[in-house]
Amino acid sequence: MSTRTQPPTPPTRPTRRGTSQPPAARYRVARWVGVGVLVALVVAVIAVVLRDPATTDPAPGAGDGAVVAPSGLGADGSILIGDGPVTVTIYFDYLCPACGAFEEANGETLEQLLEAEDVTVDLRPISFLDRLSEGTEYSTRSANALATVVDSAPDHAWSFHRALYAHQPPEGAEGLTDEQLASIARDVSVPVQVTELFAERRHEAWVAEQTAQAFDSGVTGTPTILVDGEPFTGDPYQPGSLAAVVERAAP
Amino acid sequence: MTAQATRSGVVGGTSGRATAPSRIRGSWLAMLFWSAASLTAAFVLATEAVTLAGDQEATFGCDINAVVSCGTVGSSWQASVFGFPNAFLGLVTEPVVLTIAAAGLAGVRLPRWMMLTAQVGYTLGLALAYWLLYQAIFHIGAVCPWCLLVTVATTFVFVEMTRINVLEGHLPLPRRARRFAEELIHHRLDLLATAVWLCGVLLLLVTRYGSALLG
Repeated sequence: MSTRTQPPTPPTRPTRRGTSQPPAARYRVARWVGVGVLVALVVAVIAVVLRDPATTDPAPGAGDGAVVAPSGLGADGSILIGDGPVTVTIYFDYLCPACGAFEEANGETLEQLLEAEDVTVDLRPISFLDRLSEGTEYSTRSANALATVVDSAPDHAWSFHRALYAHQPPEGAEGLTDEQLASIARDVSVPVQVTELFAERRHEAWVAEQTAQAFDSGVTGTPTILVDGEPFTGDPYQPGSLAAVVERAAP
Repeated sequence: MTAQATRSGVVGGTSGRATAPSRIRGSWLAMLFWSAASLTAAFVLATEAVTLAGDQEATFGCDINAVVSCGTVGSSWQASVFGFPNAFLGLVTEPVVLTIAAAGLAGVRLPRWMMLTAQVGYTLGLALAYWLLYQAIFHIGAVCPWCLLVTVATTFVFVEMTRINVLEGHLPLPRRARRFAEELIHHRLDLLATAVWLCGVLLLLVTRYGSALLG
């Protein structure tokens, strides 16, 4: 740090004039204080970096860390909606704006395809955007809420899923509270006994596990859409793009 | 402004007139280096911005590595405050700073009005750089390596430019303030303060993003 070109200064100088010029000693003290602060900051940076792996491990939530999968799941943890011949798998994070754009473009199409019993929607909620909700872990909490509804009121899972997107909070803000999530769920007829469970966050570890599995299976971002296991290659943000592919895949 | 003023910045009997040019030379060199670094980063970011604009579909989506992602940062409204990518500002302004630094290094004495204009312009640039850093950390929630290089390089260019303007007596400071600034520079407290400042920023970043920043 110290790249001084001047030799150390004697504390008193014969050339000093007037009182407006503070003695050099004061600056030397200031320098040592500065160096001290600098060292403290460097130590703090190193400490934070070294401590980091421990703090970014699965967030300490209300759950005790045990993986509790919701009941009624399909193979490898899929949340299956409907019973059509073509399976549309969607990996998503409720905080991801691109997932919201996908829902906006194709949500209605999926709804119609479900009603016509043409598709089975395979929902894969993951939570990798937790850091973008000001520490409130919105991704995890919203995915946990969906899992809770799937577990206890599966008939409302699809409408709750869509309602969550209709109320999607922006990235970098606090997201919705558990109470707001419950209110959204009640608006789509999820019973109060079920919405009361959101705050327990009992499926949190399951969500974390699903997220890790998704990434292990090659998912690199959201939304990732598969049609009968094959990557959807159309423009996910183009209304109707999905319908064409589903029609082609239909037997 | 001349012999008397420079003497006040030098203690221990060394002649101020003899040492001032060499001290300023180091600053010109540092300014040259950091403005070149900033220009490089601006170039990379401008290229990315152009690619991003032409290829919305490929970059839209939430990437798992978004902690340090230029896609997320680049597609935010803060990335083009004035309606065009911020990096274009760097492409336009940094070459000027680079030229000024090169001229200064070559021994050209630039007129006071020019150095003052540069100081005012760069102070605005510094303010923009830190506003963007603030936005990236607290509102966009993602930072990108090249943006961070711009922040660091802008800081250093600003510090060196200010240092030159203080030592050359360009800044319209009251006598006491100027003498105080010269004393700070003489004791290298300016560099120390910069180091403390940047370490503080680094601490904020690692606290918020952890070692994801480094790996």
